[in-house]
Amino acid sequence: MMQVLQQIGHGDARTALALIEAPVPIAAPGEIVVRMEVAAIHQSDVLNLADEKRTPHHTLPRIGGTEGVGRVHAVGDGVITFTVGQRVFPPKYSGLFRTYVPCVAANCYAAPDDCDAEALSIVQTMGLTAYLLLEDYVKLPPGAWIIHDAANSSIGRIIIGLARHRGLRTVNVVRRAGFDNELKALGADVVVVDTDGADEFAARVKQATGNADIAIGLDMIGGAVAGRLAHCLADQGTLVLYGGSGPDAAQVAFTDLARRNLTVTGMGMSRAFNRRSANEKAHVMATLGELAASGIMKTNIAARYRLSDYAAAFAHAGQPNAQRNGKVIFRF
Amino acid sequence: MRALQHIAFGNPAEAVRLVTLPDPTPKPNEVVIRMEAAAVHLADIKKFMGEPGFRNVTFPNTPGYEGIGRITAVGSDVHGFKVGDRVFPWWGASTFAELVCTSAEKVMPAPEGDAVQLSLMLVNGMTSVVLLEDYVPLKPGDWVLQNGANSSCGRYAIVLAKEKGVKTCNIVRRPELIAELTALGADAVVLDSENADELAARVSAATDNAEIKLGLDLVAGPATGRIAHCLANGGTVVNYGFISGKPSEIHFNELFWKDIKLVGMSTSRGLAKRSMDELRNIYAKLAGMIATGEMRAAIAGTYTLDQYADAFRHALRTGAERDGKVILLPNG
Repeated sequence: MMQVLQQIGHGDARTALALIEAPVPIAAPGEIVVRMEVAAIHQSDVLNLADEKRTPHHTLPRIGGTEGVGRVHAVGDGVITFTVGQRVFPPKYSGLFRTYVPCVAANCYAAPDDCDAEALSIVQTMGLTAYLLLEDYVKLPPGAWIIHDAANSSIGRIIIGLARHRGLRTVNVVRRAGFDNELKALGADVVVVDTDGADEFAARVKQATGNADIAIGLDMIGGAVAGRLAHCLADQGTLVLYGGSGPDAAQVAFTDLARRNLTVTGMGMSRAFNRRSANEKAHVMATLGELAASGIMKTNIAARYRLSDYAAAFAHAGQPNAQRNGKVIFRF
Repeated sequence: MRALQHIAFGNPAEAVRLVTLPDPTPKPNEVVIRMEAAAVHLADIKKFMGEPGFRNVTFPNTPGYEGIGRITAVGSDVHGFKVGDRVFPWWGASTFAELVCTSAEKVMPAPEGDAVQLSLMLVNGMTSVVLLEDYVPLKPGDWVLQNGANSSCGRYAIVLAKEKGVKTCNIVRRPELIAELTALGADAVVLDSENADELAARVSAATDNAEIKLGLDLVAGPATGRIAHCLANGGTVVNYGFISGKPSEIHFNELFWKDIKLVGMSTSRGLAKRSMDELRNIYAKLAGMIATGEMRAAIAGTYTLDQYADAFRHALRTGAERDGKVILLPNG
């Protein structure tokens, strides 16, 4: 038998979730069964409990879980790509809050063996997002500058590490002072505190970068800060919105957008990833796995919980990012 | 001769003065043009006021991007023009003056017909051409969505699109414009709504659920996001003005869900992309369509040079307060 964390209602995790026992699944043809090592609790998992629109009653009971990593426990007929014991990334959103998960083998990716599973716990979301942001929009040769906001967020930090690894230089925009040393230790080149005046802000960025041409801006927040990033871009630059974490629409001035020929686009991670062939996807995932295993892409873990401690785990994961400082994960 | 001079940044009534200057004598390669009509653009006013992005001027200067007039003097090396010929001076010839002295090289012959209507061909006509040609490939039967549809560019776009067999869905804020734009050739005219879902429903109903890939945004502010909200997957919003006075506002969700791109348009880039021969051909065609009345802008009012303060005040008004373009008649 195995443990399964089921969502049976909405609201407080103590009542909305229930831990049940179920038989270990058997690998059907073309499938593998993955024994989970870690599964991250993402914001979407937290919202799925809170918001009935996301998880209507007729979809319950359901098993949550956005991403994680595990090892192959059983291999179904016809699967030749994976062997028992091998570490894999199971598909996203495949009900990962359970000890054993049956997965279509073709949708799984090999994961590196030579690291702790925790290091791989957010590769498929934040790692992949950061990777695609730096790959898919502007050709960035070594030495090129990028500017991004929410630089102190989990994804912001991953972007810093990836950019440094690629030989890129980063302007890191943060809300308040005090992150210089921390972000520079991760590989940040310049840390700038956001200010209201776009001109003043751009002047400070120019000074800090020695008037560098910045071809791409990555905005996680929206609102006026997105416009300030745009204001810092060189002519013909691209602003990629990728988070929309703030309530406000990105505000981009005509004098930047039209006069300076900027492009504003939004990244959809799945869409960007699915533009790639199966081989390319496997290559991307292998690259990300290596970066995570080698510590270039660092994951901040706020706390680890056992599946049976789900109430405490969800309470922790529901705290604001600043308080939590990292990802809450289940360790199986 | 009398001419306007921009002498400082400030309120248009004080930033500009009327001066008397010696009548120009053409150099060997120049012609002198006695101006019949010259269009006042919002960009003129923004320049007078020294708004951000419009401060690249030297004082004193005679403003005026465009207009139409007749040649009164011809330099010794000029061939192809004679005194009495009706012509368009090229962009930025300082047309807010009784006489314009300019290199004959780019001067273009003008047809007979309404001088007032012809006086705004150069800027707005090219803007509409570039909007329809340079961003999304359009084939007969395709739809284009635009706000600010009653503007000169908007009206031109309606006629130019129709000529290509492309249909226009036009967003207006005043119901009385529906009949007017329909008469001009608009395929659909819908009333704007602050609510993006409501607007999208109106657009869908008016276009028989057409998949619209190109949206033209003259208004900016939240209107940018509303245009995006009405477009099909993979659509492009081209912003080319900000008559709301606000930056373009677009939320991550609009861009992300439907893979929408927001780009800014500038007519000068459209000019730079085209050879002088291509431009002359485009302008010859535009001039012909305006001369026959096929292409027709709304005219808010005409003013003589000494009424410049009233003219510029009028140009600053919006909506029903200024139905169309303000035109100067430099020679009364």
